[in-house]
Amino acid sequence: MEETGWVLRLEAVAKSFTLHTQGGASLTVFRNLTFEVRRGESVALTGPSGIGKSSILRMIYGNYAADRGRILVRNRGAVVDVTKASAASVLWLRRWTLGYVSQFLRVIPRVPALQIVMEPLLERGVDAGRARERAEAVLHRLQIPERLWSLSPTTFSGGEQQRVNIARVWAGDYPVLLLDEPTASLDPGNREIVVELIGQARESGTALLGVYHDPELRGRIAERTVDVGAFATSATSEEGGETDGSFHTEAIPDKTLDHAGGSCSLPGGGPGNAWVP
Amino acid sequence: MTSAYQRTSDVQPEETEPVLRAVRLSHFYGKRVGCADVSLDLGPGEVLGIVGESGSGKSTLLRCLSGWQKPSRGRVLIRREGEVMDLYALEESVRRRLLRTEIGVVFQRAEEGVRMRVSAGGNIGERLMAEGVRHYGRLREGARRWMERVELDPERLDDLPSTYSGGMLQRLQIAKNLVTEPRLLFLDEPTTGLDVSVQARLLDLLRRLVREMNLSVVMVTHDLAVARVLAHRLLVMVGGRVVEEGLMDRVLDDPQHPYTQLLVSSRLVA
Repeated sequence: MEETGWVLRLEAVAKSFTLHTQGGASLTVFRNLTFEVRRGESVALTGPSGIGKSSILRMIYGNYAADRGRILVRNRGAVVDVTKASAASVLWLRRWTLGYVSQFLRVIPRVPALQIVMEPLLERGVDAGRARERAEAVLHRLQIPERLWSLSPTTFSGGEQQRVNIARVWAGDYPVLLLDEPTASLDPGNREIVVELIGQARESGTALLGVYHDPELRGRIAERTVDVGAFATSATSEEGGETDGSFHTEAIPDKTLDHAGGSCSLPGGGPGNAWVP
Repeated sequence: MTSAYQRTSDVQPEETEPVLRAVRLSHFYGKRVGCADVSLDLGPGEVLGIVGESGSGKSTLLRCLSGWQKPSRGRVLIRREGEVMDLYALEESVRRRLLRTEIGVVFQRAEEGVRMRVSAGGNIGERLMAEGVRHYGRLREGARRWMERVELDPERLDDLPSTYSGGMLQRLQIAKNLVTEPRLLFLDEPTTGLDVSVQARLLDLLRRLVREMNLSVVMVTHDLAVARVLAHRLLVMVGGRVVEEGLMDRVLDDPQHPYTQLLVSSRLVA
């Protein structure tokens, strides 16, 4: 056990977006963002919509670049600073350490659900039989009917897609989980299953960082919150932290900052997980 | 759901030696710049995508890297079994042999990579013969096995490639290149011009082969969707120069350079 106990630590992280296609406008989202998540701890990011909660998850996953600061991820004695790590190191973290449930599932047409869920294990060199066994167990747990396993999720409902997305990450059994509204499109029954899964993950020592819209749900899932609003530039801007009111972070929802141009332009994990995350 | 394979990461972020290294590569066509001052490393099992518009120099760079175009300046180093070779400093016959056995190139236009007047089996067998396999039955067997591996009907072994569809020709090119089990594969717009459904299946095949064979790949594409499916890392080229480099989805989702932002935002969203 490491003395300090954290597995994920952000130190004075700053993020801005420069929109070169729109006259070079620069929007600073937050700065000085500092917090850590320990093993077995579940932390929720809070703050008004558009404040950059999803961006923080993406930065930790290496999908968004940080302007300043350090994002440290620990696994098996190795500490990687995501902000400076090579592409290969970030992919290594994604393979072994970081699981990311995005808001939408990205799929390659024609690849069946079962294959998608097996993928993270195949990437680690787990043999196909064992990967399949594990994938099937998770799909069962998330109540994806067997008749859907051999089909591509492109035709699935939103809730089914989200459950495949969750199954894929749960099959990987990562020590650090980043969850972006994991239950948003689920019915109450499936939501309960996911809450249970999250509870079990915590007990087994997984560190969780998530964005949960529903306060009641958040209260049940997370033991601690980090208010992103406290680090937003309008609150901690320039000398002395006076609010200058010159811009509203609310005006920058993640979606409009998503240069990839698609509503589901989610970070891909490279070939291993081009479908999600 | 605890399991033996959970968190059994004894692996550390690997400090692996690159398989391919380019050192300050430049190529000029007269006064016109093909590519300028490009340096890069390619790790084992890594897929590097080179994106940019036509005329950005990405194809020139690919030709230089793959041994088909001696650059005006700079070096291309290839590592094989711990030995580093300077591709363009090699004796011509050695380099030729290397190109036929250790390096695969899949062209956008199948006619460049497939001999249309030789049977499919003959096309695949050729590369094996370059490796010294002479036995007819063994050549045929190898060709048949690879037809299956790229999901071509082995019954079409003796057919001429001119009777193949576009998607089948690309599969044949892939089989022909991989039969010698090279470590390095170069893809030049491998799915451009194919129907979307054919494209998707081909990309899925390539993904699978890359993983199974631990191939190191350099792929040129103007199609960002293709890059997203296959690439781990991207280089963005403009006017022969690399303007941005990084993890594939970071480059596509949070592009930093003005040109990359333009490239990403001008894409039509399906």
